[in-house]
Amino acid sequence: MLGCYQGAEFAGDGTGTTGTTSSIASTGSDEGTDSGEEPSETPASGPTGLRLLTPSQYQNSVIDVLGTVAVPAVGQWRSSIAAAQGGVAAATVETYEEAAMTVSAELFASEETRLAFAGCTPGAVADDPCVTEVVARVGRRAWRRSLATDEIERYTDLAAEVAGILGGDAWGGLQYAVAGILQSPNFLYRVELGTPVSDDDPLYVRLDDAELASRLSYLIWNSTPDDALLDAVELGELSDVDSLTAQVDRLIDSPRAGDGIVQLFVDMFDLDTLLSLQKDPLHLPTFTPTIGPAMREELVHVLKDTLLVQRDYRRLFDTQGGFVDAELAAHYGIEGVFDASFAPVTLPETRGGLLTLAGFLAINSGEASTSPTKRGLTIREVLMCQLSPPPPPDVVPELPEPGDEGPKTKRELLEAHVSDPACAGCHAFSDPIGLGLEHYDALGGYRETDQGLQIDPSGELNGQPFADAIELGSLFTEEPAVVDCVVRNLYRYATGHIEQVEEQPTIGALREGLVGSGYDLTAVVEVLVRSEAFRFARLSSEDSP
Amino acid sequence: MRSRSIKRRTMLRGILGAGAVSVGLPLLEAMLDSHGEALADGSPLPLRFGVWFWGNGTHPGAWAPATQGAGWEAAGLLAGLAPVKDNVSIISGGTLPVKKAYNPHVEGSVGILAGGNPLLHPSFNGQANNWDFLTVPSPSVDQLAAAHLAESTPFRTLALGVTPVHTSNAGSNNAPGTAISYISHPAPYVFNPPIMNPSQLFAELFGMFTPGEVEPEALARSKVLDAIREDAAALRGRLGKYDRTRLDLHLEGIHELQNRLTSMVAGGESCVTPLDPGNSDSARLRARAMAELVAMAFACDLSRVVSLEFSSPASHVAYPDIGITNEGLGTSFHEYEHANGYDADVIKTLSYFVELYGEFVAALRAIPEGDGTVLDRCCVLGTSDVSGGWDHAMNDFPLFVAGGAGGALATPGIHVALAGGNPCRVPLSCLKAVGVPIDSFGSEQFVANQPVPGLLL
Repeated sequence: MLGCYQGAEFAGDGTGTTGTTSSIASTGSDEGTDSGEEPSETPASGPTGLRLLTPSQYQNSVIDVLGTVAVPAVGQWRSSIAAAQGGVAAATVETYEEAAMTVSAELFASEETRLAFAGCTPGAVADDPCVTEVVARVGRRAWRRSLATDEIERYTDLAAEVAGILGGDAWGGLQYAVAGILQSPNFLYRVELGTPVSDDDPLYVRLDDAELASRLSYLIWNSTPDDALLDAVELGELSDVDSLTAQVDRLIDSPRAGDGIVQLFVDMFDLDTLLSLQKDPLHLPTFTPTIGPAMREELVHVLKDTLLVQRDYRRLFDTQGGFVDAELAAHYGIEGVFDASFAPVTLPETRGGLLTLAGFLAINSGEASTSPTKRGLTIREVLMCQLSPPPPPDVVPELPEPGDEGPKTKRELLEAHVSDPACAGCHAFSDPIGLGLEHYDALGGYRETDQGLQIDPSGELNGQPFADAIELGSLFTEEPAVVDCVVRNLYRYATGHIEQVEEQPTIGALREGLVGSGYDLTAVVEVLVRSEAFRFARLSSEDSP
Repeated sequence: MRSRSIKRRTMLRGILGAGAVSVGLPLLEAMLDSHGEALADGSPLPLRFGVWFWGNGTHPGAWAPATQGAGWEAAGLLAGLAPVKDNVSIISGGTLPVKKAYNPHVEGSVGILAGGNPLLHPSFNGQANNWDFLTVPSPSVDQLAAAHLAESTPFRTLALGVTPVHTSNAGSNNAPGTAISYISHPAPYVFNPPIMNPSQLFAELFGMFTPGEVEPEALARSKVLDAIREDAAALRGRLGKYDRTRLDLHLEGIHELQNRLTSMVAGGESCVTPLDPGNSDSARLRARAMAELVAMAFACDLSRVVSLEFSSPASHVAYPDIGITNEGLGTSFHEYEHANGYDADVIKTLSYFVELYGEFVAALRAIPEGDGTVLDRCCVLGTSDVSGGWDHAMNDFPLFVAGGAGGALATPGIHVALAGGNPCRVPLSCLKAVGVPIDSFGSEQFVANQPVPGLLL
């Protein structure tokens, strides 16, 4: 039986025989999309349908609808793609109900807050004008469209009925109606059904203006459309591509921009795992429960700085700008006076760019020790959209025998196995990159040695040598796969599905947009929104009613 | 029909009103059937179904008893079953016919619990971790049981977990797979997230019922859900087939919640509100606390179906209860077993899994019901994701069946060796034992048409 050492913390024992060893990164001669025009003859859009709010979208949307309330964390699917395709089980439905009841109860708890919210005093009768006004207003923000008359009546009737059940409590009736609006599938799912462009092809649909507004708002703000955007929908403005573009600019120029763009990277890197980061305090004595959330906060600051202030995606890989609170400053060995807030700092010379930031390193490590294989795989798969070859069939990943020769570095451990040709394919793909980050331990702390042994962080990326992690980061600023991959991820995030072959031209246009704008991701958002792929969808026959 | 139902809230309020909440409160007279052979409302005692699952299997070729039939010896890896051996049947020797196309832990758990090959999400285009994209092809066995047994019980299924699931990635990393982490599936890509904390389970089961008049609020909440069902009905007509299924599942959750808010439930003679067990650091104590809560939930007829994953498929957790730690092994138990095979530490751990299954069975047997115990009306399947964690073996698949299923299952328990046969005959037998009207279980090469010989009376 073959033995492949996959790194001490590698949780894999796949015996997959599917998949190929080739990268999905396209280098073909993609053609640009016909931005802003009616659909081309070969429709090039992907599927859509009901898109469940992710937990962060739920949270942001509830706050936008109700104002500042404490929103419980609810939802079953964190990523945009999974939320567009996965279902919810009964237990999750229950959490939606509880959350809606909780936030509306908080809002209605005091005379002052409920009056401020409603702007009028409700009556406990059907067709009460105040209740009707509040239902219509709250419903529009929550459902991202104006409610039909029968929908408004459903909730005003509900308010009157509940008021009766509660002994004539009109405020109680309104409170339950608001809780209902927030549990409706019209709120919990972003409805993207579209309207067929022609009778000949009922599966090819154009997103309705309200659906488009919602796509736009969640893409840039990760939340429900604001009143100005909903007004534009009702005036029919979004059918015009230039007006649509003006809305993109408005949203991007808002201080709220970045929440959506940053969320894309929170998805990609699964940064929320930092909120509950666990490390082995025996091996990593500086670990505390607060350091993971601090690392997440730093990454969010760095993402906002590079993507929205510097507006250059390449800087994500070589920026010297970090953001630290007191705990992270100590972790990085940065001297000075820091507190609980995150202050901009110049990183130590041993760091620069995403790959050397503690959060990225800690997520892609084991609880006690580093895993160059895991780090390398994440970089290949998430940052470069390159797929690792599957392990050979019937391989059992085995740890090396504990030898008598004393401690070994990760490089020595892994090299023994890369010499086995059955394992070499996988490990040559991931390990050289991961070994470049060995100067950072499983908590992202800098170290000169591993078990007293010198660390050699040199390696090569696609034939180009690097001396250490800093040089590796520099190579990433010029790596075509990194450019290609981020626009793919943006596309997947915006549309809720993984692109198919027909959608390659859009990917090509996005890539050109990124390079042409000096690597400004916000400029790519505009290219994307104008593209046919963003505004139209090809339903699969299963998606057709 | 239930002619004498009392509202569940009334029942528990009665108990709570009798004094401090504690185990062993006097029975509320109004709730008792005079002979203790029916629920308080006169309806017959229900049958129940359970799955008790652990990851990484056992020691194929070495775990089963030496003799077949009744009187099997609870020795070696099965020593932990000694206290309950009369209530447990052992089915060894089956070979799970997986295709070896994907991660074996997923293939095994999906094979034995859903009787099929894993479904690979269409968005998988060659990414390395196929297990992040795999789900069941059809509902898992507990959900098949729930469809028949649950009726209007407040908790259609109790989905429970004891140790952290293999990966928290379900739903993140663009990965919609569910089967590497979870075992209870109402449909492909939809899982019942397990409750991991006994204290939370206690609160869910027994906590929402407090003394005082909460009735109007529950009714109001149910009215809200009525409005939502109308919204969903209007939306449903505009959806394609796939989204319609998703929305229908959502509506099932709303339906269950409405049941819970308004249903009439009547417990049996032993139904009392237990104490909040807290949340222990020890996995063994958490598993035990959950077993006791499940037993009481059954006795109170709050639920009739449980799915408990002690550890998830391919679990990498440690077992400090028995001194199996990552520090001690130098790696996770999972990887250690791959590297070392069935050495003393591995055998100790595999024995511990079996022992905990035995403790679960014992907890069901500890509550009297009718002229026997709650266990007498259960079928509790015990199984894993592989037969051997060392090399992902699928032969000699570990399968236990506990309980009497209302007289349908062999008692005392027997040992049957399937000699390479299809182990999906065991879930089929368990479903049949509790009266689920099916002729076969599973799909493709997993289809089982015949129950295990001698297991059903």
